[in-house]
Amino acid sequence: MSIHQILSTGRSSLLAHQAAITVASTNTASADVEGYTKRDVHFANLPGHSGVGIDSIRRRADEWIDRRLYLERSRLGAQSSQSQGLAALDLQLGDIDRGIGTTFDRFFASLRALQTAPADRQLRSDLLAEAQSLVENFNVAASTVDREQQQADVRLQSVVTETNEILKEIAQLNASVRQSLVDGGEPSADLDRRDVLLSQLAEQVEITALDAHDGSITVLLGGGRALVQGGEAMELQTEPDPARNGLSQVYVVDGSGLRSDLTDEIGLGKIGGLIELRDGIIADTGERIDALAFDFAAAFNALHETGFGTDGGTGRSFFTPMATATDAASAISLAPGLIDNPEWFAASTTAAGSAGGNDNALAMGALAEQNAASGNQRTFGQEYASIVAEIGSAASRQRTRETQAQVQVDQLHALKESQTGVSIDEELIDITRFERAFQSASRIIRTVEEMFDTLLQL
Amino acid sequence: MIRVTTSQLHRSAFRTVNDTRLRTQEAQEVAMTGRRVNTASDDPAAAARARIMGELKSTAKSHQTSTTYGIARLQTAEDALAEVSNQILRAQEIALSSANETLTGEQRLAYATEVRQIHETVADLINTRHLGEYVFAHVNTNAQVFDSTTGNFTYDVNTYAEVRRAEVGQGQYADIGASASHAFAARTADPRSVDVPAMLAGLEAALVANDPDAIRGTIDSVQSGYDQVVGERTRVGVRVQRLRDAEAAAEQSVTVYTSLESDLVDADAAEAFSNLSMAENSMQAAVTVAARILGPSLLDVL
Repeated sequence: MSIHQILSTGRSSLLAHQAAITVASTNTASADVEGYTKRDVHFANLPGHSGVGIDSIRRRADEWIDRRLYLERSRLGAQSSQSQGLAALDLQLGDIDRGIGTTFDRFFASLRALQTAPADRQLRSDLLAEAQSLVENFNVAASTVDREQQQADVRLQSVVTETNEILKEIAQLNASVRQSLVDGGEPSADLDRRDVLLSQLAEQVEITALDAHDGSITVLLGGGRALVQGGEAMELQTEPDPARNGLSQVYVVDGSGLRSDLTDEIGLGKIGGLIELRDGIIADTGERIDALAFDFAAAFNALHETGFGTDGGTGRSFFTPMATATDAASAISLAPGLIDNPEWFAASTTAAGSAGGNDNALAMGALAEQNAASGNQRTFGQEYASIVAEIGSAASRQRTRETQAQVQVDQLHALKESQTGVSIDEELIDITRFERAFQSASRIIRTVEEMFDTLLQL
Repeated sequence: MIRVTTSQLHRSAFRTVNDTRLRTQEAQEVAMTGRRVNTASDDPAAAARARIMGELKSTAKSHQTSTTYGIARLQTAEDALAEVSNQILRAQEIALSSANETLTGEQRLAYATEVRQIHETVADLINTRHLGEYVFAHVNTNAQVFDSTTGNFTYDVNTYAEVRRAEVGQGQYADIGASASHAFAARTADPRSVDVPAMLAGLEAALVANDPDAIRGTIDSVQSGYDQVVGERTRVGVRVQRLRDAEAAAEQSVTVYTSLESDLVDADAAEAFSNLSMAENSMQAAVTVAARILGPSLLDVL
């Protein structure tokens, strides 16, 4: 081996370890950058040479963990997107000390008080005031349900807009990475960014990411529809559906402009979660409250209309009659004029007893204990308690599922981090190691220089 | 080998501290409110049962209110009936005394004056009111039961003899009124029944007429009238007792349902404060451990 070869060996080591220190420095500096993947330097002997060079600088990646993470992030996205709406429902309808349940109690308590003195105008006015309060509580509950449904819909539209931005950026990065590889460049930063975007996308909607083997990835919706192919991103759209009270349907538009309805296909991610929240528990709660309002008003009216007020009048409704249960909770109201005419309350079943009979009031009071709600399965009180329990169960279940999904994401994230993340201590060790190697290489060059000096002095 | 990265350490520390803070906040809420169920999601099954208990408690309270009102109403009626029976007893004494042939016309006229007063008193008592209602009225409790100017009842005593009922328990109903028909009126359904005001008017007329035979003729009806009033008073007493039983049952129900509701939603104070203390200790431990783990680094020694 010639002295020049020794010099060349030292030089190669010097350059290789300088580059390695650069990589370790980048790793250290980027430790807190979201989505940054640790780069590893792989040394190799130079072919036909005794020196050393950098064989490759590799991003650490684990496709299996990424796939699991996407799925768990989709689950977490679905659960977390529901937390706000369910918490609001739980807070406003799940309060056991207020709301429809307690106004039912007060209404029937007033009715029982009236049974003892049916001609008492003050007691009649009290009953009507409690009835008005009950009606208002139904209206408030309906308004709460409607507001939460609308908010879920608005958030759905917002999430769809965010998702489109992510899809576009992934498509752009696909093109950029592909071009970079063609040009022989190093697209690690773009790959890191694309991984971050895929994680964000997974929170919005369930995805599958497939390697297209040209540097780009194909992103499929959970159901199999392509969302990103190469440099092309599909567009998600929301459009109000008049058949569903103007609530949004979600569509995907492909490159040819063909539009497909995805509303019932998306199960996970924030989009799936919001659809499930809006069309599931909120809609179901609204329907049950509507049915409760309708059943109660119908049952009460049926008795009231056959009775007689103290003025001898009969055939009057107590609540404004409703044709269907649809939107009954928001439509329920006291019959016009009743609130100003307490004598209209039909406490008696007979005209002869109209002056102070209470047999009809007794029958109306007995409604509290009859299975007249939910298809004659429950009393009105039991039905409301069941609605409260269902809201509570949904909110509680959602919290548990969100916690479980968060734990899964944390565990997988920790696993991914343990493989691809940066440890400052590790990098410091590497920097020290590379620095020592750099110093050794410098020593080789100085030694060669001394050898040259020795030879020149011969 | 499992690598532990810097961000893992920070994330883990953040998560642990955050979790313990959340648990502390939850424990604080329970300790501060004294309730472990504030909204349905805290314990859905307990919340649903608590709502049912709340409804049952409210129902039992309203039964208490109804029974209290009914008892007061019936006691007013009973007091009136007691006074009417006393008045009739006095009328009976007068009838017996004045039937004696030795009395003079003037003495009988004096008795007649007293019987007129008894008649008027009884008429007033028939129209006894409780909280503005005529307690012996059938349905129209805002109208007088007996019209003393005409000497007639204001409603058909033969058709309407039953009394007002009210719900005093779950599916239980009780009479909360007294019947003028049964107490004071002659009803075709009961041939022995006596029209008390008319009976007193008859006695008064016999006394004014100074007719011992006619006076003797009223003695049996006076006795029947007395028995009739006492009979209704007895029925009212039975009704009061029934209502007292219902009131006691309602009171017991309120206590039971309050206790059951409390068991479901209220927190045990000792448990709540010990949980709070544990949560605070956990939080302090998490913060201390996080500070200890995140501190050391090779940077400190290299």
